[in-house]
Amino acid sequence: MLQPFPTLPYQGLRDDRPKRISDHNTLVEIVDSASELRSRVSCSDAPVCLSSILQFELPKYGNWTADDRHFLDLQGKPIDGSLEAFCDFREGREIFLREWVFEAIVEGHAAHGEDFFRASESLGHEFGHVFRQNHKLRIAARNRGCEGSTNKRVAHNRGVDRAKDWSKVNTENADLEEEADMFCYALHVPVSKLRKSPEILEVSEKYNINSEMAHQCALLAKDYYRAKAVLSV
Amino acid sequence: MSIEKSAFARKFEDLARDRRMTFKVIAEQMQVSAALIARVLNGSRPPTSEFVDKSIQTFGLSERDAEQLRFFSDISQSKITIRPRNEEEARKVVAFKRSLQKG
Repeated sequence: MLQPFPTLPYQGLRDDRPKRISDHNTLVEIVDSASELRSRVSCSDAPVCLSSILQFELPKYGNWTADDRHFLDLQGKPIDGSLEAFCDFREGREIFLREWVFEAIVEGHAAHGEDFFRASESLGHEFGHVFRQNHKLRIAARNRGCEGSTNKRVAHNRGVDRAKDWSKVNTENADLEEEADMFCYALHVPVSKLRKSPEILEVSEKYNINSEMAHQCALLAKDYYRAKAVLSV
Repeated sequence: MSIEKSAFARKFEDLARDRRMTFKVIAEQMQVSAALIARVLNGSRPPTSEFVDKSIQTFGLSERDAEQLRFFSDISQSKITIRPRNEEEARKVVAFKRSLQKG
């Protein structure tokens, strides 16, 4: 017997994206692992405290540093400010942040305004590279013997053109970058717990994110519930 | 590329983690900026004695733990200045420096 497709959060949301690179299983696993991390720092329905994750959870998986001296290109020249953070792509264990990103994360939105949103997105994305074991293994496998930080270059390209559509970005690691983005969105908003479709502005205020990220979270919520429905059939 | 933190930075982070104190709370109690904490932790600014004293106070360390933190601070300095008081001391310092460079 055919089951009726369930009513999904954000079913009517305007959505002209191309298909995601990740399959349904991966998407569900990413959202669930981000939710689990949220619950570990006890922010089930509140804005996520990335500073707590950095301090108390990350050391079990990897290292971090906030140091502008690491933001040099392969010729040793400073990389422009659009690259805010990157992850060591050989093992996916080390997160490098610009010093202002750390300050914004620690001191919060009240002290840093829009910079706080940018910092949150950058750090959440890097967490997406470090907190999932199978993601780290794929990073290591693809970059065996690679001396430079591939991701630094990828992240820089992305920083110049903050495209959310990884299918249009010419990089062999686009799938990993998309996964890290999805982890970031699910970390900021508990998309698996959304039972209705709150307004984007409402989500943005409740979870202390900007409206652009709230929109991405809504799209992820939509995809998550669709994936769950498809997988349960 | 890998991150090598100083002994002081590692100890400072361990103390914060053990006490479940966020960097925000630590910065407020120590009355320093998050930027200064970042620089001390990444090694671009060596911990000053004032920074160490404030850390000891903020974490409420016992005399023994405070002494250990001071020691970690001493060995985390990127430059150590020694002013020999006489020629004999200067000879010893130079000999020690040479032995380090050889090793």
